[in-house]
Amino acid sequence: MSPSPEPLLTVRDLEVTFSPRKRLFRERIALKAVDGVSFDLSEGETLGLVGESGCGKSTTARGLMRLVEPTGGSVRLEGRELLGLPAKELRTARRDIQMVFQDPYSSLDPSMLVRDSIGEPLDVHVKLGRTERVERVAELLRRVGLPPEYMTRYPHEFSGGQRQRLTIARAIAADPKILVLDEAVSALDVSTQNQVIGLLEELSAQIGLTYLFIAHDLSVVRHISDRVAVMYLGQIVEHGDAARVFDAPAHPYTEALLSAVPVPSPRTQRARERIVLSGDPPDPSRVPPGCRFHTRCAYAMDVCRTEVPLLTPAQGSGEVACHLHTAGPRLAGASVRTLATRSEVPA
Amino acid sequence: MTATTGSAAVRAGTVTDTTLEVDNLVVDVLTETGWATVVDGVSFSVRRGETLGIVGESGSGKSVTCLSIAGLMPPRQTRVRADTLRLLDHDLTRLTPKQMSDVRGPTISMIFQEPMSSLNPAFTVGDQIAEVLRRHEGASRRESKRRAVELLDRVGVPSPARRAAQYPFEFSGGMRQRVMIAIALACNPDVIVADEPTTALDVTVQAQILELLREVQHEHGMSVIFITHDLGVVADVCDRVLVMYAGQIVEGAGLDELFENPRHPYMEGLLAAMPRMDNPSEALASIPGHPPRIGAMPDGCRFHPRCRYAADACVGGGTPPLEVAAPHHTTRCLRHSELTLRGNP
Repeated sequence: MSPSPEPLLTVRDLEVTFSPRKRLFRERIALKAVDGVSFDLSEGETLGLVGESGCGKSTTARGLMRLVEPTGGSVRLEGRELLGLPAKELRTARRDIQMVFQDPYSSLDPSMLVRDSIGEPLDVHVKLGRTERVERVAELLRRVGLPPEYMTRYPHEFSGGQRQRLTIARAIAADPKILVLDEAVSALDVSTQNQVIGLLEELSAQIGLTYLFIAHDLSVVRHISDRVAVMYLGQIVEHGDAARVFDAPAHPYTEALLSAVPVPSPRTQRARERIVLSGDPPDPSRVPPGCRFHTRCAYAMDVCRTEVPLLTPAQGSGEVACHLHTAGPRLAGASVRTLATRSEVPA
Repeated sequence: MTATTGSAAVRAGTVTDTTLEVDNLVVDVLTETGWATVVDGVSFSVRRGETLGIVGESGSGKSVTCLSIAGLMPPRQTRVRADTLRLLDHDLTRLTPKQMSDVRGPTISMIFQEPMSSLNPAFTVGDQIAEVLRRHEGASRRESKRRAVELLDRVGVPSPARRAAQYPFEFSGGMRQRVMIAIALACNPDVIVADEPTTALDVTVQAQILELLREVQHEHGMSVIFITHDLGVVADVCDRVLVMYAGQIVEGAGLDELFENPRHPYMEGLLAAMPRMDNPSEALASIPGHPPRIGAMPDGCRFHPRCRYAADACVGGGTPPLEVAAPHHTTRCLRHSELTLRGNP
């Protein structure tokens, strides 16, 4: 990604710490769910955020929106710092970042008419007259591909895909700049999912929306994202252009994650090399020393068990935090890991 | 597993190659507006040692089909009929619920999507595995405990003796699914029905669980019916596949044949709709519209309102018959011989 003049959103060293009590009357322990996450989001681009459940991708999103209060770092929206902003100013700033959640059944109030669910952000941020409000809701419904007549219905009358369209209509009601989509298409059947993805792509083309797209389905992420960041145990371990990350993953974790996704073609699937990671991700309250991934990494070296790897430029684009690329064996001036990657060749 | 004489192994020599035979299964469920047919004339058989995939969108009747066969649908709200429902030498249509319950453990067991709600939070994991062994094999308390630990070890739960004494909440999603597989394996059944067993799991854990299922199947030679909506998972584990739509089987074929030469427009649509990591430039197609609602099935071919190839003949009359389109390949499409559909090579 060429450095644009100023990114829309700049996240630096974001930290979110939870302190659950392990046992009653015992000391609270600190659990860093997000531990120093940094990224930029430029206008009109889609950044995919991937990783296993519990890696902190949703907490990152909630932290930057201050739905959970970050314990450190900085989040700047068009240069304006959001962390530490008083509640009233935060509310106006939030107009520019809206969120869509996974479950369209629980994110719409069942007792509210569609008109009022979609109109609510307008009441908070825009304040329109009655007829203008109805007109605006009708336009929003049309924009997400639903007939305006639906505004006098209740959520239970809609299917899952239609409900997700309604939550998107509500999210874009007050003209936000950024949509944070947290597993927004994960609960939908594949053909419905594609319709919603098509809608998102249309909206980004029409009104220049910027997306932070969080999902565990890597095929979907590959399809929709310009850039991808991979998280493991609260940190970004690799990021870069989607094509580079998917075709030539530089971090062993990314490589394993990608190889675990089954491809819907029997012949290709049989021919693929699979790396089955052993075990579950470690307990986030007891992060391993050195590289956090070394306990499951097939390439782990001595240095990985003691030294924390820093993000360094990855060949092609983006950055990677892995000792293989700095302390690992080198061949023809490049790290062996990069040379060894081969892109998938469909039969 | 030397402690038991595997029932599967014993029967293997005496019974035919088919473990499960279903002919014309019809399932009605009670809805607010009366009885509605949700599975309509499903017929298939499963061979020993094979993995049969059943795919379809939610509401297509794939889970109800399997739950009905296993006698696990709520009796008052369900009517199950079939011309044949044969599991090994048991005629399931003639069994009382009590008899069915005796047959189930040693012959057919199920693995569900949500391992947390399938395990009882109030009992230790070891107790829940042991219970199955006591109930179906009359094993003693000590014997069943010992074998529970053995089973946990078999499904790759580390330090099985310690873990057997723990409760389900102390297990991660993947580990819970391993426990479910241990329970399903306990009586060494001939058929395992796995209903979206990896849908709630991360891909890395999904890969582990699929690998485990493959291993235990290889070891015990059981049949697996694998219900899923993920065609990637199908391509990874299945030998043969049935495609369900609106309560009916619309296509059935061997794995490669189905993916390479789909003969029903619905399957073509599903394949085109799968986002592919290895081919991202391809535009994501989607099947227009929605599956029909229960009790409001369209006349003629049930898929015709969403089908891009629908002709006049598809619109009226009864549903088209399931026809043989190629050797071991059936389709419920009237136009199958004129259409050239696109697959995923």
